[in-house]
Amino acid sequence: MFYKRDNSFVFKYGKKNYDKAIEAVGLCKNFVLDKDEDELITSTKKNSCYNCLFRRWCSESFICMKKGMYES
Amino acid sequence: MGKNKVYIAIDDTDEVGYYTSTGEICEDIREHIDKNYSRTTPITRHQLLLDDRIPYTSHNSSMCFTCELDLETFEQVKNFILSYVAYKSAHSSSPGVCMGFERDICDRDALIAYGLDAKKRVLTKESAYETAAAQKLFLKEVKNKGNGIIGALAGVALRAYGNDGRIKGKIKLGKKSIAVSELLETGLFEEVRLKHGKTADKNHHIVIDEYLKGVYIDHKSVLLVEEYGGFYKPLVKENLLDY
Repeated sequence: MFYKRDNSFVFKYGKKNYDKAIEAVGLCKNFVLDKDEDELITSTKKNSCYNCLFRRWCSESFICMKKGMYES
Repeated sequence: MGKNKVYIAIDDTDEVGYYTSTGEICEDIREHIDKNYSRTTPITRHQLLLDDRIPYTSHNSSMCFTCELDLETFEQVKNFILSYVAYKSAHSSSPGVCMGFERDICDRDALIAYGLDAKKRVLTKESAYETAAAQKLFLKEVKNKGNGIIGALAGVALRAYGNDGRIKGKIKLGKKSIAVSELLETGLFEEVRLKHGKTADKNHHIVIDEYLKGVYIDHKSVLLVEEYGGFYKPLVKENLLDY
């Protein structure tokens, strides 16, 4: 679900693949819902990497900062 | 001098995994002003450039709102904001604060151009200080590298632009539908528009799934809706990401 770029783990499917972002979170033990409702970008109540406190948006997708901490 | 319109914006107050967002800190500041000094307007969230060269935490957005202050209360509010942001921001964050009277802005177009630039280009602290000085805006690094001044100034600029950002927070009405005219009477939104810009029919009803969320267009708090089987339906979050 992620590829490595300069020690960062970038989500392969961009910013608008909502199904893949839900699928990816199912494989993750580190998901934490962003507490700021305004930063949650999906209207579904299902957990999604897109709504995780540890995602960092970049121009084409997002970087998982937790993977960066543990898997670099 | 009586009270005049003041822009207030902050940026870059968090770090990875931090428990309080910039939006929440801004909301605290807004509530403090509302309680002690002046009525305030809703906070707008302005999306800035996402680029690896910019040291933002997760989404590079800036928060801005307005209120009415005189010179004396401006100083009081400024001091409160600086100490509050220093206290509430994350240890490793680099917050910045921007404030200023609307009437003091010398070249509105130049300020707006700065804000729009912050959505497209990587900007420097030097250019932020130059722009703020030219427009007679207060701009201050609160701690660490203080990179948040770039976003804070952009927040003021984009709020002054009047066609950027989502309104912070969600509005729950506790009902499943409401006529457009009735919603406008509540004062929660200044306008209801279809997503392509046409003004909504005031007699139509809006079907509410859970809550309503506004965007900032033409200096107004606007609810965007789409046709939905004879009713209107608010646009879902996924369709508001461009604002």
